[in-house]
Amino acid sequence: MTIALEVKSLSKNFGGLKAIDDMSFSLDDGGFTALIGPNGAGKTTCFNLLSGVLEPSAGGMLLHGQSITSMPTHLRARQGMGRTFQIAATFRSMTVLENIEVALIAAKQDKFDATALLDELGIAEHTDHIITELAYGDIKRVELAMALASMPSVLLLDEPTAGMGANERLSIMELIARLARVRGTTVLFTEHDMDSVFGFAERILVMDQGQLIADGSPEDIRSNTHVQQIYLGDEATLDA
Amino acid sequence: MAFYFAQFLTGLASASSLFLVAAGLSIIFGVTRIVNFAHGSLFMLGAFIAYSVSQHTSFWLAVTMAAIAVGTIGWCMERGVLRKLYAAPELFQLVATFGLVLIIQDAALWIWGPMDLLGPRAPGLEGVVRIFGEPIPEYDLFLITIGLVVLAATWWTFKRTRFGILVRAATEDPEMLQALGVKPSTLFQATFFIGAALAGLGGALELPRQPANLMMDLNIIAEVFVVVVIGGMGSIIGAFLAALLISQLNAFGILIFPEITLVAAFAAMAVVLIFKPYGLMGKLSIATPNAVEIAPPMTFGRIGSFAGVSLMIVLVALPFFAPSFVVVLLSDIFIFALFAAGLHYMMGTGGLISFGHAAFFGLGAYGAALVVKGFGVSMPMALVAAPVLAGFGAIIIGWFAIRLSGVYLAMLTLAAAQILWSTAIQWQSVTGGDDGILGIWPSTWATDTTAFYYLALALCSTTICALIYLSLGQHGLLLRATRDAAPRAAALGINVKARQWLAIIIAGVSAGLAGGIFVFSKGSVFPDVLAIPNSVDALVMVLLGGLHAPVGPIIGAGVFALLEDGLSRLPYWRALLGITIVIVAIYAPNGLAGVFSKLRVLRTKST
Ligand SMILES: Nc1ncnc2c1ncn2[C@@H]1O[C@H](COP(=O)(O)OP(=O)(O)OP(=O)(O)O)[C@@H](O)[C@H]1O
Ligand SMILES: [Mg+2]
Repeated sequence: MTIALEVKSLSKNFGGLKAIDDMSFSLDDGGFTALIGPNGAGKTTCFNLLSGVLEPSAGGMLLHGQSITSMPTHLRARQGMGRTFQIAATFRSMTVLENIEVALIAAKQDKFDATALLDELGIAEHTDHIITELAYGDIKRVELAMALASMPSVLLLDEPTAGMGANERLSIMELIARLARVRGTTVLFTEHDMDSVFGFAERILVMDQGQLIADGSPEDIRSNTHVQQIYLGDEATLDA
Repeated sequence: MAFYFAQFLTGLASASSLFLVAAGLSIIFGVTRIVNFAHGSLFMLGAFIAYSVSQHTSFWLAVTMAAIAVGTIGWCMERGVLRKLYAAPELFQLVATFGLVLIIQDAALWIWGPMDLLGPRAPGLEGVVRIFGEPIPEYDLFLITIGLVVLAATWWTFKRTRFGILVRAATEDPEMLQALGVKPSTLFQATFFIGAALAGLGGALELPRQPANLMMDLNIIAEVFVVVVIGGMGSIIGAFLAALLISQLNAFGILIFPEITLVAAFAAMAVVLIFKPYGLMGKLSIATPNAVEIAPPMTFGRIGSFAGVSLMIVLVALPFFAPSFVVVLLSDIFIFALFAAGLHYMMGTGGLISFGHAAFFGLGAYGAALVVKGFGVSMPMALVAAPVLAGFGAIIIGWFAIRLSGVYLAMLTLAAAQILWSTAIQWQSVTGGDDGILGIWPSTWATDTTAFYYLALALCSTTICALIYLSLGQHGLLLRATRDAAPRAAALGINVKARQWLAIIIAGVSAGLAGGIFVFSKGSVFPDVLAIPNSVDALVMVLLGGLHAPVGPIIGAGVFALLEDGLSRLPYWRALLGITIVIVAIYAPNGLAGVFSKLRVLRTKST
């Protein structure tokens, strides 16, 4: 198994706050991994460091064996790093289809079937609507479609199903898992919904206060006492 | 040595008024997130009001009253105009304050007349003191003290008073105000009053050093922008340090480089921006609203294409029946439509605000004139040189610009244009200074009005069509992506900065070509082409036509030229223009194209 993404002693300080504190882990090629942790644990900050939105205070990372620590965001993207944002970011002056087109042009994909993808995501009816006319759940889907359309080899998804109902969550997670399997994409996703995490992740990384505190299979994590402590109020969800 | 020390003190004295104005601008920005372009106008009003009051009473009372009066004017500005715009995109806030600049300028002209007004000396401080044998005006020493006192007073206010703490809270985190249970509007009014009063005080205190005049507003605002860009928006200490730096550069620059002192200021700004893009003391992330409204391009479908083709046919046929003054007027409109179209591309499609588009127009104009005079080349070659020189200018200005966004960008572009303008005035040996460069005539085949008309039509319409094509095509789509959501665009692999840089260069090249054609239409070039009013004309054309309509610049240039032709003979035409700008910014942000498309929607609904 080759390694898709390797993170080495990554740290990020905001003033006195250690948002990411000496984090190291690596993701195997084609793995489907969840990154969980309570609010403010540092999940989004970690994604921002991996995608180049933020510069690390210390440490670095390799993408397919190549150091990307000082590479600007757009070059990381061209090396295969895709992501979505916790607060869905889309191009608000454009139609759904134009949003996908931008992703395809940027990724130099000319044979991609955008209509089929929109259909699978259940937003085909909105193809020619301007983004601002869509409900938030659908905007999240459009952003996901953009990230998928650019055919990344490593895909970071920050709460991909936030703001959706339970059934919708399930179908979106299924779709992501299936596409990732077919394409061999390495996925790292954050999620507060434990059904999505335990139902789909092959491996779970747990963060708290900037540190990686647990790493293992869903069974390992479920029985990890440290993790249970942190999620004390959420024990019920963990057991579900 | 003594001489240099004296020069240093002169620099310090000038730093004081610069600091007062910059501090006011900075405080207002910190709280309201609005860059008040009219801050220089408040400075000017301070000087004029102090002049009038000092005719009847003592100088010191006049200074105090001027500060209070200008503070009140600032308060009225906030009430009357700006508070309608707090939620508007940055561009409209900036443009509205710019409208106020024009209104205040004409108001001052109307009240005080066009002459420079020499104020009284400051009683008790008329003399000089000798320091190391050099005469130093007592008043300069007083100004230095005032600068330090105001610095200390603002420092104390911010640290110790409830008002100061609220201002700091608002500057650092606007949402915190609500949490503290403060009504923002009260704080905003108080801030505007104080910021404006500081500017008024600065202006009033200038009176013993220079006569009150109508150039004070724009002269100081460009320097103040340089100061706040260097110091960092929202930082008082930053403003103080930067004011010192700029004043010393001016004081000593004049000894080394008497021709182009402002260039030193620009160079300083450039160096700071390279190493600290948000200024010496600026915070990295000041969350600001969108630079421009995010909306899809407004196209008019088949009606639009039909109108475009018909217009083209009419324009081609026109010289056969129209009188020659119409032909000449139209040639000018073509040039200005092209000038505006470039700005529209970077600002509408790219969201990159420029208040100094005249820089590129002027570079093109001077470029063409200089190659004709210097190398004796013919018109076609000069029309190649114009966009090339402007393109180089855009490469350099753009290199700095893409490090900034929103209000910083607006200030940088304005300062850059202003510096080119003063270079054109001061670098007499090359540019002819105020006398300009004369006798730049078209090639013989194009001297005839009709021939020149066709030349302008061909060049301008081709370039404008190319710009429309770009903005509606793939290129424009990617540029809009960087405007709509830059982090998203970057995460998809788009090189955001490179796209923006390219947009600025395209805008610069188009404006440069327009400037080149303009020189041959007039036969001469003067520093005016680089001046702020020319940049404002381009802005007005773009906004009047409609920021999101690719054909906006054509409509805007046409309407603007007709208005100007009809109204510019009125004595207070600039104020009318200012009022128009304010109204468009508040009530018709999508310009005439927006109005037209609304009417169309209404009509479709009623049938
Ligand atoms: N730009 C920033 N400046 C200062 N502090 C920040 C910044 N971004 C994040 N933080 C802080 O860093 C910590 C980690 O935040 P982060 O957004 O990464 O958490 P998260 O795990 O994604 O939380 P959530 O589940 O709520 O999305 C928080 O305390 C947050 O306040
Ligand atoms: Mg998060």
